[in-house]
Amino acid sequence: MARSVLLSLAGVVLWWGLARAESPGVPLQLQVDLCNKVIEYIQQPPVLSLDRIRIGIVVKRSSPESMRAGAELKAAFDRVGPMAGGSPHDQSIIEWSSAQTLAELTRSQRLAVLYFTPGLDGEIGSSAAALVGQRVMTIGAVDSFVRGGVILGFELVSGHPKMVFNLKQAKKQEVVLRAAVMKLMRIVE
Amino acid sequence: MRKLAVTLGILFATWLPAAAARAQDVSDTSDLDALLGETVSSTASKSAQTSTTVPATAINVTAEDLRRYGIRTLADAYNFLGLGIIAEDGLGQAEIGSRGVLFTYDAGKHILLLIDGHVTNDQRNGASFHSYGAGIPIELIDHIEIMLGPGSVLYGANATLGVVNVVTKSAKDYHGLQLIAESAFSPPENQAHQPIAPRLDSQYPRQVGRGYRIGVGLGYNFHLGDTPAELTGQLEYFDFTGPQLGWTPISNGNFNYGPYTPIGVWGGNTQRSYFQRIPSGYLRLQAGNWQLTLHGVFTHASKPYSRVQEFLRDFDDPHSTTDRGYGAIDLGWNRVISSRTSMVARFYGDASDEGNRIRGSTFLGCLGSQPNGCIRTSHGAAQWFGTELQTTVKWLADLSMASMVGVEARVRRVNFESGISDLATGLPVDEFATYRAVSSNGALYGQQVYSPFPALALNAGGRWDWDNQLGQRLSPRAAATAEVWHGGTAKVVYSEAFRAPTFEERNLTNRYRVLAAPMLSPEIVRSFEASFQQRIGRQRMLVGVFRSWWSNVVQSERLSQAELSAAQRAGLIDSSAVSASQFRNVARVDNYGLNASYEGSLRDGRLSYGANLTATYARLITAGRTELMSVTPSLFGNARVSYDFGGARPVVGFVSQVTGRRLADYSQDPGVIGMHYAPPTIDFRLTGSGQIPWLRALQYRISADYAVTTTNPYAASTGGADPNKVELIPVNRATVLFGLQYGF
Repeated sequence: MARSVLLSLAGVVLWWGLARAESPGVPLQLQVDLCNKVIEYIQQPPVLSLDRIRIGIVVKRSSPESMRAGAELKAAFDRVGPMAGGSPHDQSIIEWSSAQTLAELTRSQRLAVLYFTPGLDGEIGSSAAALVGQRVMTIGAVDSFVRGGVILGFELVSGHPKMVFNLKQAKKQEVVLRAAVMKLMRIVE
Repeated sequence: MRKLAVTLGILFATWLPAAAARAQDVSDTSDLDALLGETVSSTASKSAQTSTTVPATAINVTAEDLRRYGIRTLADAYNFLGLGIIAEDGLGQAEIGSRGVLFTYDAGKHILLLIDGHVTNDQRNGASFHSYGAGIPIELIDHIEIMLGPGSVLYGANATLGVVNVVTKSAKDYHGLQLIAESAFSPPENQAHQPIAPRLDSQYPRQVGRGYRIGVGLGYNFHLGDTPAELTGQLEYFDFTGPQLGWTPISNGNFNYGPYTPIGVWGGNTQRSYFQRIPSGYLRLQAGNWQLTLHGVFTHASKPYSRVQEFLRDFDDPHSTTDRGYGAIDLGWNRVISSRTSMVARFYGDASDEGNRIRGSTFLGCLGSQPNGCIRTSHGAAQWFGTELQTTVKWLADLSMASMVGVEARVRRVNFESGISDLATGLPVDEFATYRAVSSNGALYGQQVYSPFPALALNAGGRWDWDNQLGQRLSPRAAATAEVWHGGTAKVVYSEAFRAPTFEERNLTNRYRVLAAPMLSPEIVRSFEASFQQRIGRQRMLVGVFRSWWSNVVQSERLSQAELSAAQRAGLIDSSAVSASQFRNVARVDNYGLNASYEGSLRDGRLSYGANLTATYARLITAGRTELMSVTPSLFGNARVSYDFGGARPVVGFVSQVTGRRLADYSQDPGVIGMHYAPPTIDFRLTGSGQIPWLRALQYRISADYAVTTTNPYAASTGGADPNKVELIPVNRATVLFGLQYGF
C-alpha cells in the first residue's frame, strides 16, 4: 500500500516536472531593453510614425511559466519610457485562445508588436501561419520560437545575449529592419 | 599603487567624453551593441542578471574566448582572461589567489568551484581543482562565471576569495557527436631553466614533454513524450608526461636521495616523475523541469619535487604519486508555481577518495628503525549527500521586489589515516592519524531584491550556516547598483564569508609531529568594494576598488617548547619528537587594492581585445609579525587581442599574462636569510583556430606559448637542516599544441 502511494506520488511529481515550458535564456528585462532598441530600426511597418506603439503580450492561462513571463514583460515595458526616441507605447496582456482570434485581435487593436511568452511552444506554428500578411513584429521570449515562425528572438550564447531573426517569416509579414541592425543578428530561414 | 590609481583615473576621465562623442557621431547601433555586450550571470544572486546589476564584481569568460585564445584549463582561463584572480602552477595542481591574497598549501579551499551550480569542493579538506584534475572538458564549457570577493551569503563555506561557476553547453550549442584529439609538446630544459633546442639524437625525443587528450562528446535534443529533453556530455582521457627539467645540484652531506642522483647530491635532471593521467566524464540530462548531472574524474599524478612542508621524496621518483577519484550526481528540479512564485529543489551526492605515497630514501619523516628510508602514505575519503530547496516570490504590482528563501541540509562522512610503510617491501609498518566521523550541517538563506526605480537596484541578504561540530555563522551581504548616467553603472557591495576549518585541520594527528586542533574556528573575511562600469557601444570599462579584512586565518604553527612538553606528558605527541605543529587561528590579513578592466571589439566584432589589471596590498599579520603574502603577486594582469579573418580563414588570438615578482613560499620561514622572489612573469600564447576549408566538420586549434620567466615561487625541499638549501622550481616554459575536433 505504502509502496503504491509512494510510486503514485513519484509519478505525479515526475509528470509535474516534465510538463514544463522552455524557459527564456536571456533575462526578460534585458529582452525588453533590446526590444526597445530594435524597434528604432524597424522600417516596415512604419512603427516610428505611429501615434502610439501598441504591444500585445501573448500568454497562455494554463501555463504558469507563460503567466509569469507575461506579468514580468508587462512590468518591464511599463518601466520603459517613450520608445524609439519619443513614441508613447502601451502594452497589454492577450490570452491565447486560437491563432485566428489572435490574428483578428492584432488587426483590430492595431498591434505593432506581439510578444510570445514561454508555454506557447505548440501555438507558434499556427500563430505564424495566421499572421501571414499582417504587418506586425513578432518576438519570442524563447529563442526556439524563431524557428517555429516568430520573427525575432533572443538567445543566450556563452552568457551573452544574441538576436535571432527569421527572415522568411519577416518577408511573409512584410517586416523590414534596417541593414545596420540586421548585421547584429543571426539569420535563420 | 596610489600613482597607478591616479593614472587610471586620468585615463578614464579623458576616455569617457571622447568615447561618448565618438559613439554619438559614428555608431548608430551603439546602444544596441552595448546591450549585446552585456554578460548574463547567475552566480552572484542565483538568478540570471546582467553583469552590471549583479551584486558583486563578476566577469564571464565565454566559450568563444576559450577557443580563440587556446585556453586548456580553468587555471589558464583565470590567468589569461580573468580579472583579479590568478592561478599559480606548482607543476601540478594550481593554487588559486584573488586580489593579492593566496594561501599557499591551501589546495583551493578558499575558493568555491561550482559546475552547473553544483559545489565540487571536497568536504574532507575543502580542496577544489582548477587544472586538468577538475575533470571539466574544455569544449563542453559554455562560459565561466567568476565572482570575486566573499560569497557565503548564498553558498556557505569556502566562498572567501570568490565563487567560480562553470556553466556547460546546452545540446543546441554542442550538437551531434564530437570527436576530439589534441597533442602538446614542450622542450626539455637545462639546469639554467632554458629550453634545449631540438637535436637529432635518440635521447631528445624522450626528454620532450608530451601530452595528449582524446575525447568523445555528445549533444542531443529529443522528446520524452511531449516534453523536450536534451543530453550533453563528454568523456575524455588526458595523458601528460612533463619535459625533462634541470635542477641545480645541491650537496647535502651523505643524504640518500634515491637511485637517480649520487649520494649526498640533490639535483640533476628529472624525467620520470612529472606526469598526470586523468580520465574524466561529465553528462547532463535535462527533461522538462528535471536536470540530472553526473560527473566523474580520476587522477593519477606525480610531481618532480617535494615542497618545503612536505615529506621529502626521492629525487625524480616516479613512484611518489597521488591518486584521487571524485564522483558526483546532482538531480535538480525547478518549477514556476504561479505568475509570482517559482521553486527550485536539488538532491545531490558526492564521493571522493585520495591516496598519497611519498617514497624517501633518507631517514627524514621515517621511524627510528628506518634509517634507510620509508614510504609515507596517507589516505582520505569522504561522501556527502544533501538537498536544497529554494523559492522566489515577486512582489508589488510592477514586480520590482523579489524575495528568495532557501534551505540546505547536508550529511558528510569522512575518514582519513596516514602511515609509514617499508621502503623495500611496501608493507605497512605503522599507522596513525586514523579519523572517522559523520557530521551534518545545514543552512537557511534569504535574499531581498528591490528596484524602486529602473536605474537603482538594491540587494540584501544573509545566510545562517549551522554545523553540528563547528557551531553557527551568519554571512550577510548588501549591495546597491545605480545607473548614474547613460551606460554608466556604479556599484557598492559589502559582503562577508567564512571558511569552516576542514576535518583534516581539526583532527589530523601524527604522534611524531602534528597535534589535533579540535577548537579551531572558521576563518572570516569581510569586504567592501565599489566599482564603476561604463559601456559605450562595444567598448566597456570597469574600475573598482576593494578593501577586505580577514580574521581567524588558519596557519600551521610550531608548538612552543612548553606546549610540546605538555603534549608529550599528555601522551598526544611521542616523547622522541623534538618539534610538533598544530593548526591555529593565528593570523589576519589586511588587503586592499584596485581592479581595472577594458574590453571591446571593432570591425563588426572581428577584432576583439581586452585587458585586465589588478594592483593590491596584502599583509599577513600574526602575533607581533607582519609578513608579505607569499606566492601571489601584488600587481598582475593580462591582455588579449584576436582577429577573425572570416569564412574558412582562421581566427588568430594572442594573449599574454603579466605578473610582478612573487615572494617565494619559503622566504619567510624561520632561518631563511633574505627575501627570495620568483621573477616577474610574462607568458605569451598565440593561437590559430578555425575549420578545415574542405572539411567544414573538422575544426583545428594550434597554439604555442612561451613564458619569459625561469622559476615559479615554490621551493623544492632538499631536506637538509639549512632552510636556505632549497631551489625554486622551474617553469614549463614552452608548449606547442595541436588539436582537432570533428563533429558528426
